[in-house]
Amino acid sequence: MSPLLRRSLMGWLVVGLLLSLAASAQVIEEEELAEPDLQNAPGFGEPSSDADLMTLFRAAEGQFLAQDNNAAFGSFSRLLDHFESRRLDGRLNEEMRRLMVLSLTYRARLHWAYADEPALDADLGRIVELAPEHELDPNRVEPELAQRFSNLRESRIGTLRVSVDPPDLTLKIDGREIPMPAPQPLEGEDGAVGDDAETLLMPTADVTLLAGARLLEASRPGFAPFITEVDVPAGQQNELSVVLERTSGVVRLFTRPPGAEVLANGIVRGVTSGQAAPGTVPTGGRYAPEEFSEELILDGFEPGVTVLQIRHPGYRTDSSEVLMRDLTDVKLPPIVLESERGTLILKNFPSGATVRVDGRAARIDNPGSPNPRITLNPGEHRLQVAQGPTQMYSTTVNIADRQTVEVTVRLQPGLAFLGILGGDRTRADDLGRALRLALVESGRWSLLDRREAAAPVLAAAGLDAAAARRASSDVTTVDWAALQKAVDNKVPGLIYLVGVLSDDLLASHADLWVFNAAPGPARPAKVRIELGQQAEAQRFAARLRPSLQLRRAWLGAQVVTSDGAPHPIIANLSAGGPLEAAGAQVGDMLVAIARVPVFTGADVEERLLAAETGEPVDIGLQTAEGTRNLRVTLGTSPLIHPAGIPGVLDPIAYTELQLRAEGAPAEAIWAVGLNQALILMRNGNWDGAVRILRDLKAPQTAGVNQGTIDYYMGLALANVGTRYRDAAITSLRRAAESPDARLLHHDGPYVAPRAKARLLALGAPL
Amino acid sequence: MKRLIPHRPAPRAAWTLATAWAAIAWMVLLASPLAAQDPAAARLLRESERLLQGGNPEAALEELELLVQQFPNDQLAPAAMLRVAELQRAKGAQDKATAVLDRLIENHGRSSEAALAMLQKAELTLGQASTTTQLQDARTAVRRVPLLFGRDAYPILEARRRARTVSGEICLLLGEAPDAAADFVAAIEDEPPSPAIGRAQLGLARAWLMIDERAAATEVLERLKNADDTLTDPVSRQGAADLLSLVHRRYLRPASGQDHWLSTSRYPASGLALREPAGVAAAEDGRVLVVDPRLPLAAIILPDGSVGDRSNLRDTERPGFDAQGNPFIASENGILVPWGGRIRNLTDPRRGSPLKNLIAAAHGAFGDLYVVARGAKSLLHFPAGAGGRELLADRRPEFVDVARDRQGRIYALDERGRSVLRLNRDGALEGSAAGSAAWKKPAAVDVDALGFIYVLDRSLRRVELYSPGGQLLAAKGPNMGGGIELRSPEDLAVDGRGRVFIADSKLPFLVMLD
Repeated sequence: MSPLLRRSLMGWLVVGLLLSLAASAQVIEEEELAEPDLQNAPGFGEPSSDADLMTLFRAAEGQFLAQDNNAAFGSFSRLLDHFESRRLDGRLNEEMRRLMVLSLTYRARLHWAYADEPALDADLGRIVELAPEHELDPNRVEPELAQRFSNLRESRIGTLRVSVDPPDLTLKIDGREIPMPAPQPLEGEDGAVGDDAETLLMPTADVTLLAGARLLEASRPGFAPFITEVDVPAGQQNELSVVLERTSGVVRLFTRPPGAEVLANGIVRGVTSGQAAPGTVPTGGRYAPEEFSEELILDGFEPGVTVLQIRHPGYRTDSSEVLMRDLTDVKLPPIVLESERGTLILKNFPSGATVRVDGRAARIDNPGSPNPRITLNPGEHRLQVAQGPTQMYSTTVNIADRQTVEVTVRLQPGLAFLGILGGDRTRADDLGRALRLALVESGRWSLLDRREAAAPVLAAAGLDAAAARRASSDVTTVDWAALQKAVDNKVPGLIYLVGVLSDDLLASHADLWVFNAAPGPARPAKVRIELGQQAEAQRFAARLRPSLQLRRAWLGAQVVTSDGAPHPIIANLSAGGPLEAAGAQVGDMLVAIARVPVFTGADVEERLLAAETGEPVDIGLQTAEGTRNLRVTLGTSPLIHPAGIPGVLDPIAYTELQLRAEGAPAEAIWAVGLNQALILMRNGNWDGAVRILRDLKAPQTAGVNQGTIDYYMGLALANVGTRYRDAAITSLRRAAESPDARLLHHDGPYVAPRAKARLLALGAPL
Repeated sequence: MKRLIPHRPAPRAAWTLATAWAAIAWMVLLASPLAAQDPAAARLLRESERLLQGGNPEAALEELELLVQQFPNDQLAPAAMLRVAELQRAKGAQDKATAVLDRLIENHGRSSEAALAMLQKAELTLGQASTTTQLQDARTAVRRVPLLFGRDAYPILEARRRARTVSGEICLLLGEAPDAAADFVAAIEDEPPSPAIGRAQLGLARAWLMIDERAAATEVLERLKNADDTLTDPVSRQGAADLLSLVHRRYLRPASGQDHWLSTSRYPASGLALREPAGVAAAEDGRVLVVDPRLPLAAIILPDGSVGDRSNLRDTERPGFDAQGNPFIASENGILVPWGGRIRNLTDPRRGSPLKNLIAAAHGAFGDLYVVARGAKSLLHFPAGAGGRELLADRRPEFVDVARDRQGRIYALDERGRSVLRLNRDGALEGSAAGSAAWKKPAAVDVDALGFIYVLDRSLRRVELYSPGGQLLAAKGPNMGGGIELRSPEDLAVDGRGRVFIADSKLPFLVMLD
């Protein structure tokens, strides 16, 4: 037969063989392997993981099953190179060893098909070396091949019968652990089974090994290790009995949680880890077995008492004494470590308030108590108490195990510090510290440090340092309403503070922006402070603690000053006002208030702002008839601030007003509400202003009254949109027909002529 | 007499206005986000600023024009164009300024500088208006600013308040006080705080005084007068103080049973020796111009009573102050502008020859001039840029004096008819503003900021005060009190505070009636 014909016949033989294998759906591996996606299979360059090698193996196996022999041969050869490389590096685990054996088997079948006997025998021999116990199933591979392998194997392996004591020692031959069977009871002559340890047979196993000298190692905690070289003759059996000598006692334990450090007589002996294997920890206890560590086995114990300590951060240390009468194994019951706990007691706790610790709702041990008690892990905790949307208390509590800490709750409006924008982080950190210190010292606000949580919120709103600096000159740069909504949701406070450094590299000053939570105005007020001066931060903090003057004395007169008169002249008298009631007349000169001479209208204002209401004061007049002195009891007027409260930031003023309005009856706080509405109007929040104004009811007295509210209601409605034009006109008409109505205070500017002007501008003259 | 109430800014006001414009323009420039601009444009801008500070506005203008030319779409271009217009206006090149402003509005219409440009352009139009219609056109233009640049998109925009204020001031000129009040109230209450609020407050008070909302007006004035320096401008505060003084003298004193005038004194108390004073004028800011042809002398007395500029001008008749607050004197050959000025010669519309023997003059609302000439049986009107014409010739009057009120209305004193005739700002007769058959030789007339009319009768040697409605309220003379008796009164004038100054040719001082 010519070589060409022989090769052709061999080819057909291989094809027929493979077809028959495919038809019987036989695969070498017992498990079903998925059809590999060759397109997506990783290249053979540098497979880095077991999964990569498994994928490559499946690809090669797929090629084999598809009878693409050349490709399969190449794939298995490259794969075997990788396995060999791992083996030499000591990185060939059992699973990869199994794959290597399978790969060699496939390649041997290809050699068989190609009739390449030298290569075939090399691969079969390699299989025996790697897995002496491995056999080829003649039902799954070519029977002749199986027989050839069997013959080869018989000539290269032997058997070692090994028996061990103690039965649970660890036996390794050539580094591979040899599983040993459980000890069997010794059957008596009558077939009865003994009932004590003495009746157990030493576990014995027959281990198939590559013929030659093999290294055997046996070890177990508490026993001296045993190492020997044993000769395994080819095709024969050798026997060995391994009996280890007891050298120390052993302690076995589990802990909950894992990670506990175990000390014996003060010396660290080990750390628990992992998860308890099923069945090793009794079930039915308070805790599930999987919450325990795997068993920690410690040896080296002498007979006597040993103090064991189990330590774990956050848990109380478990101490116990172990009495070991002999060199035995002592298995401790599962050890449950008790968490360290401190107790926090909240004094002066307001009814209905909520408590959060470290950002999460806290569990109160004694709900309903006026002094709630909270159990906490030792360490530093952030405590927040809130009552409604405006009252907050925030502090940091440091608590130790078994310690009870009392905190007196002082509810205050919450100021959320959102951070300092800008790249000069040194200055930013300095400023942040200075502000925190100043604000805490001021004692007006509960400082809520939201910097960390606020950073992504500000970023999502597009508010970085550059945008913020642009916004300083153009308030339309930032969508303040959207930002307010975002921070209200994510980092709530009653008022917000964010700083913007003047420069990313070398900042000299910072703009501090203050804005309200909804429904307050979203547009911020801005305060510029120089950096590096604590006094600047203190001045800023002082601005956040203003005193609002919402009332003043009422004289009931409007004065003017003239170069033709040395004192202010009474230009108008309010009907029923204090001065008219005392008998003053228009044209009289107002010489003195409370015996202090006045020379200008500003002097009169100053005296009235400083005067106590309800107290009689002397008013000196110069009339056409001469000098008069009147005893006048000054009335009280609300103070309305349409242009803002002097020296007070709008957001702060709004919040202070909001706090005053809370819980007060509407008739008592109409002037407060009016001031709030004016802040909203000033900041373009017309809807919000209307919502407040529509509920206000002012007394029908001369001065700041319902006509005043009508006027501002008209303005707000006119700005909400054209659909409210008629309502605006109606309000303004009411104001225009209120001759006694005033702005600012009872002696302030007249409402009616302004309302008429507004009506004219709306195209609806009175 | 002759006291002309300027409807255009007085010198100090004009300077303030120019300064304000310059300040706004530079604020706009400096507030511009430089980081987003071409560095070369920014360098040109800085160079122009340096040149301007160094007193070289021409070179600064060149740099700015180069910036506009080279970087027409740069973010700095609108502000630079605005500055160019400002510098062109300062040069008097109104047409060039207008052209730049037009380009700015067309090419950068949504920039905040465009709002300022529209405002500037409207003010240019206003300054050149010669008819009521043109005033109304200017108002229409300026009212577009708050319509186009709303608060939602431009929350901080000074141009909006200024536009509302200018609109209100035009309404005042047109005599439409309620509309003026609507503009001023919006300017005051609807815009962010700024020093420009004072001008609006002053305008609002004036509007309300015109429609008898006196209580509201005086409240505004008193508040303005006492306002912080940082919140209002000094010109407006002084205007408020003057108006309050006037209200006190004309309304409050009588309301409490006091006389309109409480004292008479020599003015100034010292520092000025006169021989035969024949004419006097008072500016709204308290400056007094007196002429004494016998010395000869023309002198300015400053508001604090000290003597300012003085000159030995001859052939002088009655003095006055023009719309910008500049002094002038009617003279034999024309309108004489003292202290560096020139004579404005007029052509007699009756003969076509140079007008001679002028005895009094007053400026109208549109830069026009009303003249009384000796022997003329009419009031001569000289519109800006046009020839003169005769008014009221059919009444065969013998006009001896003429004055103008704040709304631009003209008051002509007819000796023969014993009345003060009032003409509207277009020169049409409205009727008699005041008059009395008891007058013997009425010689001078003036009108204060509240519309009160003051008439001097030379023969009766007394001053009479008439309400804006023509009702006689008070008379004083010849015994004025304080040891002063009028002997041959020639002229009178009333200042912004209501102080009356009388020139008596037989008294070597001015008489101040307060």
